[in-house]
Amino acid sequence: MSSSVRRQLLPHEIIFEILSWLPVCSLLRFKCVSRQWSSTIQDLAFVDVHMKRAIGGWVYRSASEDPHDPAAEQIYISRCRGLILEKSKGARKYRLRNPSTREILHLPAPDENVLCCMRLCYITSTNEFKLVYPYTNGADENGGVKILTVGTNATWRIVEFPFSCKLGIVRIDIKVLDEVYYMIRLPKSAGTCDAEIVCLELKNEQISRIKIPDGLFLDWRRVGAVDWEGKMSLGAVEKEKLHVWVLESVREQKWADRKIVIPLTFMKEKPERHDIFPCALHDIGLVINSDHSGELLVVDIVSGNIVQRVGAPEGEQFLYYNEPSLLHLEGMQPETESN
Amino acid sequence: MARKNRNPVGKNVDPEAQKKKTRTLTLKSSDGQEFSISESAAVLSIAIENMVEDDCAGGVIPLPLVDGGTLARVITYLNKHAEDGASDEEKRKFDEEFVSGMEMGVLFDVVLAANYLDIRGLLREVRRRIADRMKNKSVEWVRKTFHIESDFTPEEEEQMKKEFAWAWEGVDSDVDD
Repeated sequence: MSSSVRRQLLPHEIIFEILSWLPVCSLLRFKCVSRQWSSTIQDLAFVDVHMKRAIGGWVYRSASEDPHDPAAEQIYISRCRGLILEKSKGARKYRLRNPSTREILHLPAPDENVLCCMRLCYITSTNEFKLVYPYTNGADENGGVKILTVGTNATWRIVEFPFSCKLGIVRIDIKVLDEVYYMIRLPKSAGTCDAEIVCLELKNEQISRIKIPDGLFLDWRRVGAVDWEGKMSLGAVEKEKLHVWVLESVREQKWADRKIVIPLTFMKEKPERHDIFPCALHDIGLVINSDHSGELLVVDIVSGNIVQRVGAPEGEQFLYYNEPSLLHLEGMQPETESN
Repeated sequence: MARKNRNPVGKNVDPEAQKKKTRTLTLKSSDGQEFSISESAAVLSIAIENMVEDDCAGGVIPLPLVDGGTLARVITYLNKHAEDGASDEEKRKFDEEFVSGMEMGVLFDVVLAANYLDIRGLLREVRRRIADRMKNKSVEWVRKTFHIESDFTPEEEEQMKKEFAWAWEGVDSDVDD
């Protein structure tokens, strides 16, 4: 008995589930099947479920730059929910690109030529994307942040720091976690100024500051922000060990009572290396960026040994991690050679 | 209870679990075929478990929405998953082979039965398998297989196709599988 004789119809909840396992390319095609399928595939709840199930992967680029490669025209800045924020190399032009649907959205240019501190952030409750970067009016002036809410008629807005905070004379590190944009203000050398964390709550755009207690670290030059299972923390590699202080509560400005010390046993082979940048603790282990080899290392936090190495293929370098997503923002257009 | 179940030798196993293994139920398909199955295998279906708990299982459980051929397949699945000592790896391999030979119509029958009987693992496996089979297929193939009539005008369809023309590249020819 063939299926055409029986003509079973699947209930829509089963169709929804089946579709959620398909690659983006198939779904863009199957939007044509019927109006019901089309609206399911564009539904935000479906896009969310699909994004959680889709398997991502690293995107690489040739280490030797080819000037004719159109991809080399863009500098990768940040990513969020499958969207890539990038800037044109030659001009102050910014855009969002969904590499899975091959659509782009041009963004209004900010006043400054920003790269490393700009982040693309998402606010779940309002389903909004915001671009954020800190600015300063010079070494002695008070600064603030500039924010763009992505959407029609979007313009950059200024939110000044409600307290005196001079970013010009310090090193800053940026981390976005749990809808908070953290600016970690670190002294360039010991004793030049107080270290602190300036927090921007992305939803209501409230700015607060958290003092970093004195004496947390011996050498401030090696301190960086680490995503500690979703919590903001500061980490520094000292003598083959990673020292971590976790910020337990942003609102209460509460730091963990004790410092966490993780052995980095693998460093014993080469104790003097200074290219180790811990970036996050996930369930797979401690993820470390290694500048020198361009590798990502995953370290077991009990043994301190490397359990996984993710390296780019010969002659290529990491560009970004792509999370396949069906996300389409209003105003997005198909990417063509000319745009 | 939890400690007892963890006993590796299995000598002091839960007497209730032991009873379930020896007790058999009879499942009756829509076309009147009857199948014997151990209670421990049958209750992997949440729907059957509820019927047993409500004591509607006076002996024969009628399943008017599942035909005999499909029920036989579902029972094969349940028996494997209730088997003592089958490792997760073994079950995973079984699941893969279990669905790999089925044609689309059979997968549809099984997914409907798994949905009705609330067998989560089987439901997940079959849904993924259906997705895997259709990912390189054409829109026409999908409409025919899912019995869907297009409600777009040819102009609308043409417009959608133009928008993502690259998504139409590399599509399989519509050979029936």
